[in-house]
Amino acid sequence: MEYVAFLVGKDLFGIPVTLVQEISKPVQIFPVPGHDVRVAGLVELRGRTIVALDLRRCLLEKLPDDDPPARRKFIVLETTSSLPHSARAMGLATHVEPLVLVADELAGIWDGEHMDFHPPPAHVPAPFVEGVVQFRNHLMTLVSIPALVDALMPQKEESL
Amino acid sequence: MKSAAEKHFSIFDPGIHFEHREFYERIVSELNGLLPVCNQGKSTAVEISENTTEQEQITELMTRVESFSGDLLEVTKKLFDQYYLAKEALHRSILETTAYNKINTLDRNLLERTCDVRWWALETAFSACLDTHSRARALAASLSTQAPSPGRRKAGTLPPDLMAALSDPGTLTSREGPGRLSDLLEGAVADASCEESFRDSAQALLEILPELSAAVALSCDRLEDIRHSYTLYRDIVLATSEGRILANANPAERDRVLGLDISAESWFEKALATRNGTEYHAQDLGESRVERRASLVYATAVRESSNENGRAIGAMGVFFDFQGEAEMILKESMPTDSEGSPLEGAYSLFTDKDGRVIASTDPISLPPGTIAHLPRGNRTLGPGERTARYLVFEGLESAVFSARTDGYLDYRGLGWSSHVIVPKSLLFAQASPPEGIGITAEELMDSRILPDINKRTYLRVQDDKESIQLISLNGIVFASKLGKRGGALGPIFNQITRTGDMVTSRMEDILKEMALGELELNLKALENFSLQAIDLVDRNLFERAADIRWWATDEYFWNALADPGPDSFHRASERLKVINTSYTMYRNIVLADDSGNIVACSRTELRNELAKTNVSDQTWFQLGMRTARSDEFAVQDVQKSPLEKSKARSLVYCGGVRSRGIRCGESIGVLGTLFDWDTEARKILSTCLPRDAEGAIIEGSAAFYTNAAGEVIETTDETAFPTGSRPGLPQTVQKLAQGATTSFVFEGESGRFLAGSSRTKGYREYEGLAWCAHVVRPIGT
Repeated sequence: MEYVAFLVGKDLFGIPVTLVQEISKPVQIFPVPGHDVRVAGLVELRGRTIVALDLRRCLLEKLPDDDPPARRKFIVLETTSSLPHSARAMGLATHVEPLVLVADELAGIWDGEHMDFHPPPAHVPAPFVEGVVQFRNHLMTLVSIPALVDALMPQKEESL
Repeated sequence: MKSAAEKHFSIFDPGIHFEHREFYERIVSELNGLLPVCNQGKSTAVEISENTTEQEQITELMTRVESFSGDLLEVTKKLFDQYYLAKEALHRSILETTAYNKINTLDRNLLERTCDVRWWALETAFSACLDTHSRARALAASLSTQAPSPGRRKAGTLPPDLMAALSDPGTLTSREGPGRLSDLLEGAVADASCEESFRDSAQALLEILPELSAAVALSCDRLEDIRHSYTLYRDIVLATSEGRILANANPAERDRVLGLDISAESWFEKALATRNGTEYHAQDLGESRVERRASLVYATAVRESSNENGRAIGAMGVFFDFQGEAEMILKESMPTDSEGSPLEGAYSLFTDKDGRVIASTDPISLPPGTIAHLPRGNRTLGPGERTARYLVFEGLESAVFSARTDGYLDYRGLGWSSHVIVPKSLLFAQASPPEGIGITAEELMDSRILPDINKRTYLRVQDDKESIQLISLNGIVFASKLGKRGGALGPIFNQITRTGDMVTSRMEDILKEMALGELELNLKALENFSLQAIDLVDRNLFERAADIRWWATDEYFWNALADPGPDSFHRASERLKVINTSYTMYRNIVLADDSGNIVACSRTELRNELAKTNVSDQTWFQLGMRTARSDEFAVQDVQKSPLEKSKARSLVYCGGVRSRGIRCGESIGVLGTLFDWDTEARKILSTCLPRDAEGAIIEGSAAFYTNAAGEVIETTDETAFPTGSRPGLPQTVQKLAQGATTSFVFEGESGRFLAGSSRTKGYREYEGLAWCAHVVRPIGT
């Protein structure tokens, strides 16, 4: 499996490539009052209004002192319906609505074939972590999209 | 050089480095290489997928890559244009300013000269001498007419040589003339046959001749005193109303010069025609019988009884050491090679209003007296105008930067221009900013030092780089979803990423090189400004040193000290007041007796207060008492003085007063001048601030002087660099040798600054006080 790798603060994270629809330059974020602070707000991309998640607030223990870089990136996720069959077959899932992850910097596309997978360390509370992969000297934390969605997105369908 | 709006550097301009051309071609070929890659991508899309949406998605990515590479090609072309234009503009602003400063420095100097001549011409010794001469001359003239005619003579004859001596206007002014005349007269008077009336007149003349010799000797002495105090004159002459030189200042030339007939010389005629003591005449460089080389003469009339509005009874002409001064100014701030000798192909010259060379750094290529082969536009400038053009000079592609005088204060100048010629290669040389300057190219890119256009290009390149990276990434994301079918797209996107990275990082490199070049020139400009600031203050203080030496020999002061009393002190005070009215750059001038009591001062309202002041514990007084000769002076560095209770800082120049104004001997008192230092210094500093292309002073920039201890003594910015403070300048500045300059980056209290500093090198015999001038501009992000 291939991963899109990205930096949040100084830490390296990744998600499977198949969950990514597109990577785009940042656009203006319109804050939504009353939301969880981890939701950055709404963005307009290709005519759609999409919820953007602030990965700094989601994934980092402590907010870094410096402002997020000007050239941060938006990772646009596939929706459940647009997810390829192969991905579903592998048990991957996303959200019913499109979602944007706001990352500080991209770190390229990594091929997972040569990497060792480790489950998250049991004694560390890490709600959004699916596991850790190691490639040479680097450790990349795999972000669990379903966990993020569960925690942050109101389950509209169920309430309806 | 045309204005930036019209001029463009094509990549084929001969001024562009071949490395840059090579670089350009490399980028062009790399970017052009992307087009077939994109075409391949489009055909691969058709091969691997039958789904039109998928094909369109790939084709769209390829089209975007094509458009970005086209964009980058445009940016690259403009990049070199910008790079060379920026270098040209910066050099232009620096070298035009250099040319202007040279002529301005000369003008400032010449203004001081006009003050000098007007003031000296009022010295009583000179009017008295001319008066004695004209009385003797009148007696001689009447003798020659009333001398008995041969028909009426009863016995004996008036020797023809006596007749000739009496009627010749040069007899009384020449060196031996008076002695010879008195011998001849004595012979004639001794002749018993001579008429009674003739004998009486001859006796009167005989009595006046020694008086004349003494007056001439005194005038020569006083002129010599002036020349000792003001060392930039070759000679100073006093001429009778008939145009004969009566006294001069240069003893080495005295035998030749005294008695010379200069009645036909224009400076003499113009001097006699001045209407009052405020007028003077400046005679452009030309021939004069007084001197062996071309002379620059300032002249004015000497008036009856030394009264400003009196009748003109003679003329004073001062012969300025123009060549020496011009040579000094021309040599300054010229580009040097790595060994510090003047750069091959760099010249500097002054031309007069007709474009004739009057002084140059290379008398062989640019001989004085000839018309300089400069472009017409550089020869026909308006007052204060500056310009720059390219030309081929002595076989080298060069640029010439010119500026014409606009005078200085009330001195209008003689229409001269200053030119600096440098090889074109110097303008576009690769940047080599000093190593370890302490600023990164990235910080520079973000700073206020760089012109906005460079920053915009940098941002655009980074933007394009990012776009290409994103297209590739999205392409790979897309391909990976196609599974095995997508594999064919991999190499295409890799190629795009590689080319994009290579091209954009190279462009970033050249932008950083541009930034460093800009930094280097900015540091150079700041260094030049600091040099100008210290040079102007040195020259100003040299004049102050000259003034004090001359005034200390004034008879009013030694008379007052030799014969102390309210009357003589009052006269001395009045004299000081007259001086102070002409020389407004002094706040006060004081006379102290040998025990340090102030006995006279120029400021009437302070007389009572200062009369109770004793300055025997003051450095300046002690140094002044220790001077042993009239050409010595002393100065007390800027500090608090009891003479000026309201001022935090005073600068005192002083000279010893000697009895009867003799040149060597013990001081019987000290004359001290309180220079209006802060006003003058701030004025100078404010002219040395860096400016942007539109001529506006750069926001946040400042200029200040520090003393030998590194303390700010005057500043243009009391908030960021207050007087009395020690700004955190690097050690290298404290260690600067006399006359040396440097530039650096430093951390001030209000942020980081680029700075240039120069340590005083003095001017002529004035050594300076080891001060430094600093000019800084904020890096600011």
